[in-house]
Amino acid sequence: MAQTFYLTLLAVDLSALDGLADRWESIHRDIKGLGTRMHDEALTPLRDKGYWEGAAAPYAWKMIDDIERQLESAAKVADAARRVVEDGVGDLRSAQKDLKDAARRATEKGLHIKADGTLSPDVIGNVCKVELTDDEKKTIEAADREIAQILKRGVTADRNLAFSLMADIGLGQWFNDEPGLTDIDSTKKISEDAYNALDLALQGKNAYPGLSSDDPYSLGWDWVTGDGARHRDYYYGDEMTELIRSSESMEQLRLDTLEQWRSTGQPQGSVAYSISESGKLGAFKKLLTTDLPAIVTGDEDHLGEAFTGSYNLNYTVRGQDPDGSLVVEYTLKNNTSNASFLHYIGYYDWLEKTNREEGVFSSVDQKIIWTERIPAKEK
Amino acid sequence: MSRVRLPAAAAALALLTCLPGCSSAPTAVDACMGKQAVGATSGQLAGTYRGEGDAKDVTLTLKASTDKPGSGTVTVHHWPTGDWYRSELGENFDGSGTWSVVQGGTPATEFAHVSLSFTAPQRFLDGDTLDSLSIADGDGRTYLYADDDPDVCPAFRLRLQSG
Repeated sequence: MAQTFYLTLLAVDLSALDGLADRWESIHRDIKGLGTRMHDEALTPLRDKGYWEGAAAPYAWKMIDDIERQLESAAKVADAARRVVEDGVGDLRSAQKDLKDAARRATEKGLHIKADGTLSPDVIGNVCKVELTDDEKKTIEAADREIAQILKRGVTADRNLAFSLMADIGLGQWFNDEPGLTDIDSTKKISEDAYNALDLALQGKNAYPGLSSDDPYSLGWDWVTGDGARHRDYYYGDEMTELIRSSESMEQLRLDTLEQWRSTGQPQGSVAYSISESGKLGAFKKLLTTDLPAIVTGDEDHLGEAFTGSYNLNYTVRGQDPDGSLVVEYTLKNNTSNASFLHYIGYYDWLEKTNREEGVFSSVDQKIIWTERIPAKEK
Repeated sequence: MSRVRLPAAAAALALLTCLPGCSSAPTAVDACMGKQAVGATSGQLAGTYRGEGDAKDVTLTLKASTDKPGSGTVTVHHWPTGDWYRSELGENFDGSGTWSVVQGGTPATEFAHVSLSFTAPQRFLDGDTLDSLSIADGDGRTYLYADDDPDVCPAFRLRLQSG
């Protein structure tokens, strides 16, 4: 019933994907060669044998030529899609089998597996214990690690399958004439640009939302004056997004993301950058020595985090390349308000009450969403 | 000019004085709700929550399972749909599913959170809608909230109703 990835992978009927691959194969069989037939049986007689002449003829030839190329492209897409689905279902089936075996072994030892696939840290022999022996701890940790590793394989197969299929089918109006993926292990061929567009398309959004003209200075000015929308979305390529991505703090957050993914195998998680860890004096020192100079000089290593202050990043795994590079979608929500502007003096209930919903100095919410590839070497 | 400069200087002085002098909460969550929880039990979490801030009009009810600790069933009213199913369900939906608490205190998860799995009206997958809420507890008040900008009081927060 519940839809955690762990429970879904355990229960999913993968024969539906076998059926999908069969249908793609059947479609490919039916349309393969239709482009050549269109050329030989329609275009050639009309154009070369003079069956159709006059002013409209060149236009008709061009249209028929388009149909011929579309048929050829459609056949290529159907063939690539079939191969990708077949490869993906193989990996998913293998992960599902291993997961069921690992879950069975854990259950036989009386361990409790939670809905997300992690182990209860204090249940063994079907008993919840206050004190565990070293051997019992090792047993629980080993089962936890094993299930996390299998989950990681399952998540990777699932996401790589989705994005490989989407990349083959493409986002254009016409059939993709170069569907370049025939398995789910070639995701390296999908660029970051393409991942961002495909990710937005999968969510039913405009794949190419266009670039925002906002920068931290204009956004700060709009907060002061109350001009413009009080909620703004930014995407890959926008200046606000790229400033966060190039922030020094992001280097550690990428490492934290990789570490969490490696240890948990969960498709989602969050990582955080905090300026309050070193206390108020530390935050004030950072304001004077890093944030203010960055705002004055436009230093791209620090301007993004100078604008956001502390921030949480939620991530969702979108794929993993065979070399270990991880593709994740990050979401950052930030609020520019009186309280956030003065965060360096500390956190007070009275300060929150100075926030306004409209007019000058009214709060501006921002949601920054982008997908990026974290190289495996960042470890 | 001096009429403008004097209050501005006074405000700046007040803020600078506040820096070492005022006793502030360690986080924005502490300041407006309470301490972020590392762990929580069904007994602490079960009940009906009403929304505040951006969660105004939202209600969430957690019922504890009798046989599985730290889990149970959830019902929501006026829950934010999120991007994936907005075109089908609109901005908000009424729904139900299951919940479980994920305890913190591990290298991967510092703080506890409540994980929601909606099964109606849609078979949502992880992350399709808001399905993870952090927990804050202070002065006998329990909150669940979306952990967004750490510099401000969480905009989407729900308070456990007593009684």
